[in-house]
Amino acid sequence: MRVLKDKDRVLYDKLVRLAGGNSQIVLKVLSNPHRSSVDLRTAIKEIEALRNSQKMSAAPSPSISQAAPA
Amino acid sequence: MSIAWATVVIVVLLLPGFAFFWGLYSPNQVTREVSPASPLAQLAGVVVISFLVHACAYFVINTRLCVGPGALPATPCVDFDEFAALLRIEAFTLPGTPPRTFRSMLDSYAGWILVYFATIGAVTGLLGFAAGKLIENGYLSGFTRHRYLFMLERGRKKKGAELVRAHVLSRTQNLNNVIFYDGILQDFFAKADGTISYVVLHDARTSTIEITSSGTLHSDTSTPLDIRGESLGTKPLLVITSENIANVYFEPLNEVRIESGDDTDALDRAIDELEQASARTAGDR
Repeated sequence: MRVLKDKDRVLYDKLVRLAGGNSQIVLKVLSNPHRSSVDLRTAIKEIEALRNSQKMSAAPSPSISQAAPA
Repeated sequence: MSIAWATVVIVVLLLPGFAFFWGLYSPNQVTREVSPASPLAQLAGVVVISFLVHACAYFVINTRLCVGPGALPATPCVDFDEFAALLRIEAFTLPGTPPRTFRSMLDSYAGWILVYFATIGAVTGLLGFAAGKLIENGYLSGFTRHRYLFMLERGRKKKGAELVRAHVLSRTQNLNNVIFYDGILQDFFAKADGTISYVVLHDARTSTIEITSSGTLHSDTSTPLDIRGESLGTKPLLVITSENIANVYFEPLNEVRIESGDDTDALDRAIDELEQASARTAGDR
């Protein structure tokens, strides 16, 4: 039995690309227990926000990099 | 010879029942590909449905279509005595004996008999199809044997994108660590008793679960099986068969609604911007 439609698979792969290849971000956005559905534009915004916040937290802080030699 | 002939006649008479069950399973991809859970019960159903259909057809033809004010011209009545002769051993003409009346009956009404079986076969097939669609859409839920299978199939029929995430606990283990997979459920196959035969996961990841005396401990990170993650076309699949499945937790995700074509254009633009920015960053380095 086929569960995943081809167009849904393509959409999911695009969302993963938007998340910078991190499928965990997409799954986090689509696993919101407080809603049963989400429109695509909202999903794009939430994925971009999560992706950017993860990028910021992963990037080394300038103050730390400056403090390290001292 | 006579027994074989009687068997052929009985199988032909059961055609409406077979057509009904063919129609019943055709819209339902969950059970269409598996053998019936109880072949004997299904055969009983075939016999009962065939009997009812023939009885109704006999009543309609002999009281409405071949006699009376609303009768269709040239429509012959069903002669039960002639029909019963077909099933008997002496119905066959032996060498040296004169031909019996049923032979001329067959010569005269072969076309009508074919039309009769084609019509009731088509009608019962359509009735079965309608019943199958009702079951599939949840209106005859009492006939649903394995409801969770229909839950999995529901997303495929929705207009929006409703994905199902599957968390698969495997039987592969080392000491107290058990391999765990999760991914988007792409294909699913169940046996006749509803147990899982295999699952196919899209964009699968793997992790471990450690079984301790105080409970289970899931590893903090999971690793994508597609380690490079560079394939822009169809991504690799993970097929897990029942021999390696301890249990599966199915999690329907939020349905993604696409209001218009502008939404998908916005997604494409956002991906292009991200990938162009990544290319510029890589070029600066």
